[in-house]
Amino acid sequence: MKAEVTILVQRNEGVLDPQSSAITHSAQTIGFFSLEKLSLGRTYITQWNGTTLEEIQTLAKDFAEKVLCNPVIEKFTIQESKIIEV
Amino acid sequence: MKIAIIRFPGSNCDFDCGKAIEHLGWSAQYVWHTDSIPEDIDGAILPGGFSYGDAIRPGVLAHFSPAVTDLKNKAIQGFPILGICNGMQILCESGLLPGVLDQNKSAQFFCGEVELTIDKTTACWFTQEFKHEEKIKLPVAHGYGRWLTSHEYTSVTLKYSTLPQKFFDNGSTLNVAGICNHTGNVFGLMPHPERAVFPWMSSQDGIKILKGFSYATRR
Repeated sequence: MKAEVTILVQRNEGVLDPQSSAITHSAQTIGFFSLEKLSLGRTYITQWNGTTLEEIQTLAKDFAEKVLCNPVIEKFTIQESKIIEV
Repeated sequence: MKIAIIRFPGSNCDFDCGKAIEHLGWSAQYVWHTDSIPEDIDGAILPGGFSYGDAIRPGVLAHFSPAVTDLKNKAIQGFPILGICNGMQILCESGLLPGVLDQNKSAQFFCGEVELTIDKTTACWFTQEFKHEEKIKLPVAHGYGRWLTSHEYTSVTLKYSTLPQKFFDNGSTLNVAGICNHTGNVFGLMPHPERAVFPWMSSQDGIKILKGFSYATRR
């Protein structure tokens, strides 16, 4: 079977994100005064081969921990996992 | 003495490092990241650049390469490793050094010369040529030089001198510009010692850092 797993990586609370600050500042200078906060994240849409969805989810979690996310500054969440081919 | 310079797709300071090593009368051997480290090598440099285009985070993909895996095993045995700029980012991602390098506080790439302070209260082979609290000048060129750590960390080998310097404040924790592992053989720094070697350069302080290899191998 084949499954698609969507992984979102975001900043840990309290870690300064200069890009988010720059975007927020720029948005306000062009008139979006009510924009108070903006957080930037990265979304990875991954496709996996495996025998069960649980097995694929475990692999995707391991991959996110080892490669996609550095726990010093980031956290990740598995947003969606769905079977796309039986 | 023979120093390996590990090259990744996106390395761009590899030949500068090679020229600097040859200037010291040593020989430089370029090693592609998919190869292993030859047995007759006395030390290794992870040069600056943008390995893998900084995909995901600077340095993260490079640290899975066979050459870096080899270095991880050698580091335990006291093998000297110098990581410069992207090389420091690779060392931090690999776990050979603590912390991670994040985007500069200013969100801007900074290129220029900075003043740094040497701290010799910790063991580091690469600062043997300096005095404690000596001020040196080296060029920096990075967008991701803000060193962050989740642990309490006080033993900083190389610090940016009292900030703010002209146009420069990358927001690094404890003003960290370079850190060393506790055994002194693995040193990572964001400034470029290989760009401060020849008399026509604005500083020659980089030579003293590179000379650290001779102390490490003499041990």
